Amino acid sequence: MPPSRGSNVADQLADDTHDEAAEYVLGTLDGEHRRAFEQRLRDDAALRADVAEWERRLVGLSDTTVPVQPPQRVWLAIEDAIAPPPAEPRTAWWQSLAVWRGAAASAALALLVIVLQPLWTEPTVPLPVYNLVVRDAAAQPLWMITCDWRTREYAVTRVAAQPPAAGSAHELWLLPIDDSAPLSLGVIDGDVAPAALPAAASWRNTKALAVSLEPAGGSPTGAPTGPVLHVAPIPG
Amino acid sequence: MTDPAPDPNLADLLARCALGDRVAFADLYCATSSKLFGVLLRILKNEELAEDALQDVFISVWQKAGDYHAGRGAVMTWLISIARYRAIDMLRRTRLLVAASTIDSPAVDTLPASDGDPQELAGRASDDQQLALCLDELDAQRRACLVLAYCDGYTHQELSQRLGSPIGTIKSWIRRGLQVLKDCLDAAKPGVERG
Repeated sequence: MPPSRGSNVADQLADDTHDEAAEYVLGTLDGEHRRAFEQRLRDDAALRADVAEWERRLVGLSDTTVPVQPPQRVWLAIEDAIAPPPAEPRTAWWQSLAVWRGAAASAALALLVIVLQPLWTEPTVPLPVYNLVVRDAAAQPLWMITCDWRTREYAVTRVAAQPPAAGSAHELWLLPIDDSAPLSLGVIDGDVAPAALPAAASWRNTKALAVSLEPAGGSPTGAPTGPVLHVAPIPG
Repeated sequence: MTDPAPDPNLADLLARCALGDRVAFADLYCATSSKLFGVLLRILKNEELAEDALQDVFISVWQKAGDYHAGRGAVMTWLISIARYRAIDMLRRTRLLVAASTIDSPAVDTLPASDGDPQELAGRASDDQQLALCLDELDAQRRACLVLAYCDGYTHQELSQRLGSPIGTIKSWIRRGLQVLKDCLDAAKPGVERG
């Protein structure tokens, strides 16, 4: 802030500075001014406070912006990007050049590395949300299924799946790891808006999703009655 | 999951992110990514760019979680700001590329999130009652300028095309609009913490 001495010039300067914080937040500072302003922000705590104040004043304008669920691939990319750097042992003694030069031809050592390597890969935190693509034999994506085990919701998006023959339906199932009965996620011939996963379903006890061909309206018995057309295993 | 309302838990989650807690980070993502993706999509009008931006935003949040402090405002405000600045940066960069190849940008006429005349735009400007009240002190054109700039990332140039007024007029509408808004908001609740 320039010192205010009550002069018009100082007032004008103060106004301009203030306008800039507001216009920076609003987004209307032109490219060059924007960059210069960001430079100044770095060293000017008072200016940062002005900006924070304007952010607070204006944030309500985003109330009318409709939330949109991002595709799962975004999270997967973020998770990859923030994965911890390779653990220490990866650059440990047996990987140093000197050792390799010294034991260049040691097949036994090479084998040791191969066998032990998996023990040192950093476990990632599994996020129990996933997108699975059900594909046909030619790897064409038919449906995309999102399961969010945190909210226990799933959603289905039809990609290239064709409607079934008249009088039949495609039904989606969760296949438990313990080979207990498949759990129905319902008929998926339209997009399924987010719906609750069955109460009996468990993230840790699910090995795959499957699509079976059922009579119109879905299986009358609660278990798959028709042929299983597609299976999408859950990775990891 | 899509609730944009301020959540005191977000501050806890962010604090845990600062300590390297990846589960807290995943929770933060689940709680806020839909709102931020909506904000990004509305500015960028392109899913691919919005996905890239969302990725950048969260990587940056993970890295800068420790920089957040209550003085920066509510966590959601902080996150929305990070997302908006990122989107605006991307937008200005892509528009530079577009501008280099075409004379005028057809994008301005095909923006989905901003149809409606200024009157209508202004009418649904905010759920924040005080802000809505203060926006009411502005005429429709000035309100539209602020909303289109803030929510849709319009430049002076685009506002000028959109509202059919010279850039000079747009600039003074914005300045005046911001000033009126500030006076009104600050008079109503000095130093109020929104959420």
